[in-house]
Amino acid sequence: MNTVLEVMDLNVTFPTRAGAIRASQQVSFRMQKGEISVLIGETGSGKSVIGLAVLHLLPEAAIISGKINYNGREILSMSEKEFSRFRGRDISLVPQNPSGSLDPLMRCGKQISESLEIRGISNLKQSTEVENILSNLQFSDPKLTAASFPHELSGGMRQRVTTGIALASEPKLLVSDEPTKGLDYSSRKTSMKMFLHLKHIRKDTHLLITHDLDLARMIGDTIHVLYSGEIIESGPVDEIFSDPHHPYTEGLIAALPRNGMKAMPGMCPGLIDLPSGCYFYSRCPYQCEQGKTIHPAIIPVNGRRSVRCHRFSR
Amino acid sequence: MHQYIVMRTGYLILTLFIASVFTFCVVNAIPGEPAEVLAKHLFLGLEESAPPELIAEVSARYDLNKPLIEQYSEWIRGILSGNLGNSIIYNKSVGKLLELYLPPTILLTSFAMTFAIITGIALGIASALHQNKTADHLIRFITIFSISMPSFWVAVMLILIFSLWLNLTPVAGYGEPKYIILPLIALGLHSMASIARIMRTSMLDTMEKPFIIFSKAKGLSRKKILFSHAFKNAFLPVLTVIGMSFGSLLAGSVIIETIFTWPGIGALLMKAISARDLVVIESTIMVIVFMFLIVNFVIDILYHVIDPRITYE
Amino acid sequence: MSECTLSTQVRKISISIQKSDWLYRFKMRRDLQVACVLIVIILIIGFFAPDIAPQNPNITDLEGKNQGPTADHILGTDYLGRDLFSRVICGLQTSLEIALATIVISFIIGVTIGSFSGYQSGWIDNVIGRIIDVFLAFPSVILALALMMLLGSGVLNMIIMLSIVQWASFARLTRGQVLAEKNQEYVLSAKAAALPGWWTMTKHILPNCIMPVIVLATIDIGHAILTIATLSFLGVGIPPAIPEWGSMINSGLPYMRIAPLNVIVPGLAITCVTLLFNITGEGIRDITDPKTDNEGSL
Repeated sequence: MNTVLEVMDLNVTFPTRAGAIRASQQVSFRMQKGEISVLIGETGSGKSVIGLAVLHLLPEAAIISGKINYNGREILSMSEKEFSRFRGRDISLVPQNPSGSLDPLMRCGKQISESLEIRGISNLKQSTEVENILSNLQFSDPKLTAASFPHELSGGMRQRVTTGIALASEPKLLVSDEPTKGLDYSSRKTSMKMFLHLKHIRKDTHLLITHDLDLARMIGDTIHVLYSGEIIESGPVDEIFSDPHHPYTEGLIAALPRNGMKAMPGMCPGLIDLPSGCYFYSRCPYQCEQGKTIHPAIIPVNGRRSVRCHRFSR
Repeated sequence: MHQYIVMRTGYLILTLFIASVFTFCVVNAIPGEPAEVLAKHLFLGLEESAPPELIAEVSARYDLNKPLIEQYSEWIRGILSGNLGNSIIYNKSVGKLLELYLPPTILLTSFAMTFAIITGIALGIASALHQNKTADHLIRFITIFSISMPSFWVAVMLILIFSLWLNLTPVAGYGEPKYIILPLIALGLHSMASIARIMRTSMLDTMEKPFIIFSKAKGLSRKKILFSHAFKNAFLPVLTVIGMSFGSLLAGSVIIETIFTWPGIGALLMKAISARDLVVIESTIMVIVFMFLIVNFVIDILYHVIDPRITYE
Repeated sequence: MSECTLSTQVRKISISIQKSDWLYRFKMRRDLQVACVLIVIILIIGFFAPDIAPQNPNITDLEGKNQGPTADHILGTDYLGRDLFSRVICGLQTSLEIALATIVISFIIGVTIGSFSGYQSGWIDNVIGRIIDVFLAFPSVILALALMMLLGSGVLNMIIMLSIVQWASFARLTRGQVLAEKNQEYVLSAKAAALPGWWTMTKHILPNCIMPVIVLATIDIGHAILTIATLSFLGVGIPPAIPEWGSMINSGLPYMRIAPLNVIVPGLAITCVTLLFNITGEGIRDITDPKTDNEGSL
């Protein structure tokens, strides 16, 4: 098997004065070459933290344990110097907040060609390559976009430019952090179209971190649902959508506009004082007896899927 | 852009005009009949009292008995036609005086400013890159100490240490490179420290911006992140501080030139003040204000060139 | 869905700590505490200077002029044989008196004019803004020199002159703060509720934007002390009979070689007092402005 990325028992904790924030707990998953894995969860579920951990971009204050293997090499324990060879060459990032992630004083084309330079593409070829990339990203006038400053573009366009920067380095693993967050309806549509297009023409290994179920369903292969820093359900996209096991996943799908926007009651627990039993207990429609006191383990179901719920432990 | 420059020029002229009225009023309202002070200065000792005939003669000779508005409009008309009037005590035209005294001031202030900008930026960046390490603490201490010292005392201490005790540099003078070292340090130290402090803060601020983290994710080298992204963005607030510290530099030149007997307009102004040479006082103040406004004008334009986000309204 | 990103969550926690709890941050800052204690000590010394000074600062002794440190005069004497240590202590009183009065006056004038201008906007604001610009276009020492000639020397004149020089920077800062705060929603809703303007101003806008102005005031105390010293060094400002650091340095200049303490000690005194106010001002800014916090943000 061609495993590109394997995350094992990843724990990330942020010490604060108010207490330790347990942003990610015992997260494990693996990705095959060419696979698009989606980490899905509402904001606050700790999904972005996993992406940042893969890229060694977590703040220094974070306490991290576990293992991350990239193509068979353990990267989590690498020094900053060792790991910096991987960034932008092997693994690249489509950042959250595209507006803040572009240098306001540099033209977009130049920011893309910086990534090309790392790959060793000569200055002469850079501008045509930049235009190629931009036209693949659904830009109607790549030349104009390349010559624009970030503030001259719309939020959706900036999002696609940051995607272009990430793709320019031809990564073997692409990590995108909430690419459709904060976009208006039509920009979001364009971005989704772009990702679908990219999936067909490039076959990237792509770790997609999002709260956007539509995007996940459209381009994802495998899905991992996160809740309060834990993976609570994993499996192939179609199966999860057609037959969700975990009540939280059920709730998410029921909350989609086309399914009647039925909102789940309650709130996710704060990441500082987590309950001792099942984290979802207070919101769970089933409220099984064990859930009150015993924290459920993740258990495989039918080979390809797994779920963290007492109802499946029998 | 052109529109902006035109507008900014109009604004510059307006400020200069108000400043000229203000200067003229303040200088002419100085107590003690100017003619009387002048008469004493020209013909008698300061202790003696001037006879009325002499005062009348002096004020007639130097047009001091005309109404103030008329004096002001003559002064402005003179400036516009290139004739700045005549100094009473030097017996020269003010234009001639400025020709003599302006170049040393420009020389000293530009050297001091260059020193302040280069060392300030270097120290600020060094401090930011070693945040909370010994070098940072040291630089921060030196800079906050520097902005707390009065520049005249720095000058006095430099003379005491380097000229009197160590005999390394001449006490005062003009004409050779060795004469400029102490004045330029005394004059530039304060600006250097303020530039270093804002550079540090701004650099630290910028280093936390998402685009710097993204540059890191892109795989750019640290050097590249620092120089093509961080520095450029961090420099914008520094530019504003450079403009403001040019003002304190010009003001400082009045004191520093007096201490080091540097033949510039600062020293000229101090002499003119003690002799109540009104035309010279007015003109030198206006020249200083003009230089300050021009430098800030240039900095404003530069700001617009560096930062594409500013729109020209 | 509940909205609580990890980063916003962390930020919320840290902001609530910062806002509710700047006292906590004050407790973490040893340097700031030391500076505050020293300022209190300095204020006390300044207030009781004539009682603390071991000798009368104006008693001359031409026999023992320009002396080095002795048992009688721990820092030596000046060119008229006056006790240097006593003069430095009394100089503190002069400086503090003038600087504090100046800052209080220019703070009141500047904040009043600045907030009025910023709140009014329109042509009134334009005119006031231009006037502020003109005041700031003069390098402060130059303006001070010209005004000092106009007013003549004296402690009261010095206070008036310095207030004229300093008010503009308070006015500009307050105006900018008010302009920024004016369009916040809470102000708009106060307007919508037809509350009178002065009420909105004093009860809502000012309390929310006054902190940076207070920081500026603290730093400007140091600034005022520097300007006072500079002017008296140039011989304008304080009459020679009153002990003042700048004029002490000036009168010590000719005897610098034989009695260097006369120029060193007053300068050190100026530097230390200014340094204290600078450190305190910046410290207050650090603990009250969550934006400059370098530890809590993610």
